[in-house]
Amino acid sequence: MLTAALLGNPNVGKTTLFNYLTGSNQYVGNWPGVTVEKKEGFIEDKVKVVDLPGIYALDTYSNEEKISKEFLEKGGVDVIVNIVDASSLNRNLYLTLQLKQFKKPIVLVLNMIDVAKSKGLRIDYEKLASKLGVIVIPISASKGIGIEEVKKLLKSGNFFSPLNENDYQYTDDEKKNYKFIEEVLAEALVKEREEVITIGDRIDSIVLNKFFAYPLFLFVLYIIFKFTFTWVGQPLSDAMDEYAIGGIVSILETLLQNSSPWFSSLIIDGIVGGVGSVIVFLPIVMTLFLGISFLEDSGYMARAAFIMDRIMRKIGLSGKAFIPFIIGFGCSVPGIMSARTLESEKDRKLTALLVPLMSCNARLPVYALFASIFFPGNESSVTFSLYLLGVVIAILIGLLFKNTIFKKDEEPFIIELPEYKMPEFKSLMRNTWEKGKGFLKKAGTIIFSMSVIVWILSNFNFSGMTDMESSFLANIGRAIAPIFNPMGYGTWQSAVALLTGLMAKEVVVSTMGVIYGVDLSNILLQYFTPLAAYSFLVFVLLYTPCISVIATMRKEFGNKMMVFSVLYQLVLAWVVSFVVYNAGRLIFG
Amino acid sequence: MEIVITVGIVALAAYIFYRSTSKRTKGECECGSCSSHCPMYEEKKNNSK
Repeated sequence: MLTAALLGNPNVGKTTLFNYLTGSNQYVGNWPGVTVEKKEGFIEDKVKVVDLPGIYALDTYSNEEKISKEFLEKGGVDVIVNIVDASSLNRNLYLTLQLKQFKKPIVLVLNMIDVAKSKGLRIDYEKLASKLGVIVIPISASKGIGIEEVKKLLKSGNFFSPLNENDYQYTDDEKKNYKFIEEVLAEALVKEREEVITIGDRIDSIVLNKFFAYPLFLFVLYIIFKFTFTWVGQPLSDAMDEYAIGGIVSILETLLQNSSPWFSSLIIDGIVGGVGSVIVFLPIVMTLFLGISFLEDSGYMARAAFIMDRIMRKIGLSGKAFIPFIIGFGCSVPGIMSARTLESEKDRKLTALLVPLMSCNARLPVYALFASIFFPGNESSVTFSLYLLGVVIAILIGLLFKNTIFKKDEEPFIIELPEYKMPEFKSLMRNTWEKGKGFLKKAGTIIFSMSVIVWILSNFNFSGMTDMESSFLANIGRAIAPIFNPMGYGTWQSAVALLTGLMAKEVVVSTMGVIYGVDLSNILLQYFTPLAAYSFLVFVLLYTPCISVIATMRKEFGNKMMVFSVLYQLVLAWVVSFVVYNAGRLIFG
Repeated sequence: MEIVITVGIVALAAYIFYRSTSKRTKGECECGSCSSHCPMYEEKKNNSK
């Protein structure tokens, strides 16, 4: 079987081409950094295609470059498929020249020929091929144009055409390489008309404007929260709670009316109370990620990373680190892992310590529950403020770490801004469904099992079945609760909810559902004031996310970092929650 | 009958808890955000080939 290495600059359409070639279903994002690890796919068991992370060159030290270089040297590569953006050949061909040092046949896939044409660029493919000593195939990956030709060529294994003699050998001299590229393009590229100002350029002049960029970014995020909590997600969630969960409870109550009270309590309070209290937030999770996927696919997220560069630089990171942060809004685990794409070890560690401060989607049900009960009508603002608080705290902690344990020099940040495009409906639906599926899977596994365990622990003690106040759970909770007294939620119920939340943040809600019963909205009002509720949410936002994150931290950075991350987040959560509650009391009385 | 169902539910919950906890403590993917762009997902997929 032949092995083809798929390589190119970030965000030139590698993953889209990979998906077309291999029939895979990999995530495609309209922003750089989607491919962190190499991934494999097959063309009819004849060709193994390896999608390598996007890189600009092979002479720096990021993990992506190391992965790509190592694979090209030792991976038994038969052919390099170098995908480039046809509308920015001068930048993209530098990597092509560097790839020549591996002395493998190169198939140069010119992607986005439609965009190049719209910019008035005419490329002489034959000349380009002969000058570079490569095979050139023009394609448009997003429209599926030309891909069959790439597939056919790879399957035929006929790469060693006369064109393929490497008449130009790569040199280490950067200037010479760029001069060579200029010479090649002078002959192979014709600009039919001067570049016109496109709609994208006009949008960028506002989106990247130094005065408008940040307010606009906050406004865009706020609209997504409005969409989630006011316009679509919350109403759907309320309907699901009333009709689906409410309906199931009344059916079960009828069915179980002749059963023992403990059995009926296990099914209704334990399982339905636990799992149901979390599952009602499915529409909210899906709506929020529909909005985020829209931003990613439209090309705005890459701009967000660009405009965040200035702030990120202040905390000792480059804008590139903003990408793990964005991924962290979904889940901290892939967020921490995608810190691998950063150049230095210090960057990777600092990013991994800050990523868990971004609100992951597991925290969303907790925010949604408390916001709808304690701040009706202001759900979007309250949740938005928590997301924002996570970012602000990450900036402050970043500043602190930058000047203490992670002192380092600044590094430049290069990011290619993709073309704006209207996100494809299919891609949006797939990304949103992925999130929904993950959420449902979690509800059916860890949340279900934790609900049953919490029900047992809250109904038993050493002498058998008992009332909740004398149960195992109440005793465990009472031992921890004093820690939370200064923040206004020092009840045993809150303490155990936070403790079980270490398994997964949604379990905070399911635990409360089991302890307080299905009608959480009325009962919670007796245990929390609005200020204590907000302070509780701040604690949920900042304390150690879950054991998966702890384990990932250990796997990526070792035991010391794992222990440090757990402790610093616990202390941070306590301190900020304390400040919020007590400052709030001073202000609001 | 109620006892049998309860034992079944508890056994299932204990099994899921054990499996999920052991996966999570090994740093395996259990984050519930199982999108295919998760590097953990990639590793797992590549290892299974």
